[in-house]
Amino acid sequence: MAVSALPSATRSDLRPRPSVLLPMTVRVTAVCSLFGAEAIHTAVISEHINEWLPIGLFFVGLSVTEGVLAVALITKPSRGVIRLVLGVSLGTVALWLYTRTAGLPIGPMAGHVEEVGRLDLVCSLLELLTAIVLLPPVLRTTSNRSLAR
Amino acid sequence: VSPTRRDALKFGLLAGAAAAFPVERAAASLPQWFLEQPVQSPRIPFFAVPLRIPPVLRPTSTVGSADVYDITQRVARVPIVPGLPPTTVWGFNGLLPGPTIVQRQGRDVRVRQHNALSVPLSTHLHGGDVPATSDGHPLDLVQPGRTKEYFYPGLHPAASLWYHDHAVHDTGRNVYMGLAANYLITDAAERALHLPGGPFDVSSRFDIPLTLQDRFFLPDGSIVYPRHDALRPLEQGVFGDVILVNGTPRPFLRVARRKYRFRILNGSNARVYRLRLSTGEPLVVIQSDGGLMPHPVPTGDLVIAESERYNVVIDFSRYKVGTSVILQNVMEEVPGDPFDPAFTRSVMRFDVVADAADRSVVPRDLVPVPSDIRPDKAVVRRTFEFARNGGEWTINHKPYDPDRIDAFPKLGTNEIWTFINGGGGWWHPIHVHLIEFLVLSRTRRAVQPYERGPKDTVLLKSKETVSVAMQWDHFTGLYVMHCHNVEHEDFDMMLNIKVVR
Repeated sequence: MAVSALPSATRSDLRPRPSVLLPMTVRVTAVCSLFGAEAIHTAVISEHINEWLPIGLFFVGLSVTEGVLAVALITKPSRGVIRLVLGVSLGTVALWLYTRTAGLPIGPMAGHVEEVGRLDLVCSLLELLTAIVLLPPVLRTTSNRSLAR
Repeated sequence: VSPTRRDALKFGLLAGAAAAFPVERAAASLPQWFLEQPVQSPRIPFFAVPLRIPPVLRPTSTVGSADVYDITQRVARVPIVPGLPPTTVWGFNGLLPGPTIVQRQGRDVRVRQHNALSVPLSTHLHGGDVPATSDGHPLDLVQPGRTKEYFYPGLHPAASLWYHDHAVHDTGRNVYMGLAANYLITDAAERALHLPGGPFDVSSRFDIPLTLQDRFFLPDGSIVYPRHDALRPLEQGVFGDVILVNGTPRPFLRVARRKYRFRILNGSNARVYRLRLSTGEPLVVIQSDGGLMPHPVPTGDLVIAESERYNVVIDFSRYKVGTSVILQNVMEEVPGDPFDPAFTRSVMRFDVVADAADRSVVPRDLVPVPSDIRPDKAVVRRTFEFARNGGEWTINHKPYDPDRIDAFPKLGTNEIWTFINGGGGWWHPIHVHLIEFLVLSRTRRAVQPYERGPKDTVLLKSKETVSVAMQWDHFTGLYVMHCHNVEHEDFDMMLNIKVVR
């Protein structure tokens, strides 16, 4: 099928996307941190399922997402993937902070402020580390693109 | 550069591997989650059914100084839950609980138990001072279709005992299905006290057994003993969310303004109760497992573990006609209990409906504790640790072995036994066959005043150590000691004792 026959949006998808050049140390750190966070989230799935099924399923989804994103960082570290990793990592840290300061507004423990545990602290630090190492290359790329315009 | 098929395959494989572990965890946890969802018996209203009182069994014949009873252990369908079909039970004479046997001290009793069920059975007279051949050792099984005559000599002083099945590894199922009943002994000393109920009249309206059992009902009104499997192991004990009193769910009893004697038996498999009156008035304990207390003990809360018995007097003359008093179970949490405590908080209701004359008394002095139990004369001290080891319930790190005997007490001697709860948060009511003991001490919480009478079962809560003193009296032979959370017992928290000369 000829490319010109496709709608413009689809055509643009087929164009090579601008990639982000990630130094190997950044890539390895981010991948390891993501896998670490995935492992910790996986380890507490049973506990959370028993606590409240929706939160357990959330942890299943989060673990799978982090694992798949870590693999994507290895195989195809596109800017979109990195932004997704940043969003998931920072979002999870923000949610963790919320549960440790205000408590979830829903569920059987609604409003209950959870204690900071060693495992969840390590997990959040790993996610924070992921975000810290990935943020500069993304910012650099964005700023380069802005200058180019 | 667009991704090649090879790239996509590589990504798919790696991403699949990364996602496999969380998905596997979820798959492993969800069945357990389904099992642990709060389940509930069909809606059974509170205080809608009048309390049933088990019939007192009449002897089939009298031979010399012995009364002979015949009992058939059989399947029956009994109406338990109003509005639901009858419930299939395994009962002594098809009753839940079975018929009450009343023995007078000095008169022997012979009970011919006919097994009309399809499983082997062994009937234990709990608290009985009986020969080893009639004790109901877990391996002394009566096969289906066979009959065994048990001999209970008239040695024991006044007490509230009970008889129940004790078949090895199946006691939990058999008791849950209904094989349990009261066995009451009276004597001259008790009759002289003029306690409520009248002299030698345990079947009177003022002397009433209350057998507490918890059961879980299916929507068709049936009770089913759960299957033991890896997902839902039974070792922690089998609980129910409906408390039956004498086989009646959450009943009421109409009482007069006078004193009543209630013979409370915890016949539950695994539930421990903390009983209290809703009015805050005391329960006056006059008898513990093995006999009358030295003095009445008023108590606001009465903790009663599996197989323990306490007789209490409640004086309803304190209340006006029209008052209702609820017997509550305020135990917050029993280890292993999957049910919301709200379901088991109300045991039964007493409705004060009439005035009545009352000539009964509760004397300040009842009966001294057995003088033959002499801790100061103890010749042997033994220590037993009850714990969970390698996924098994053990005593001194060993599960039950029918071929092993762990203690050889000598007939006529005193011993001091120390029971240690090895931890894990579990509770163990420890029962020793043949003898009564006195509770000497307990760590972490005091020996309760109502535990100062003769006992054959003592509750060992988490991390506690309890010491008891006993005299090995009357009979030699093979007996057992075990945890009376009957699932702990079935899963081998038991040992053999051989009393020798």
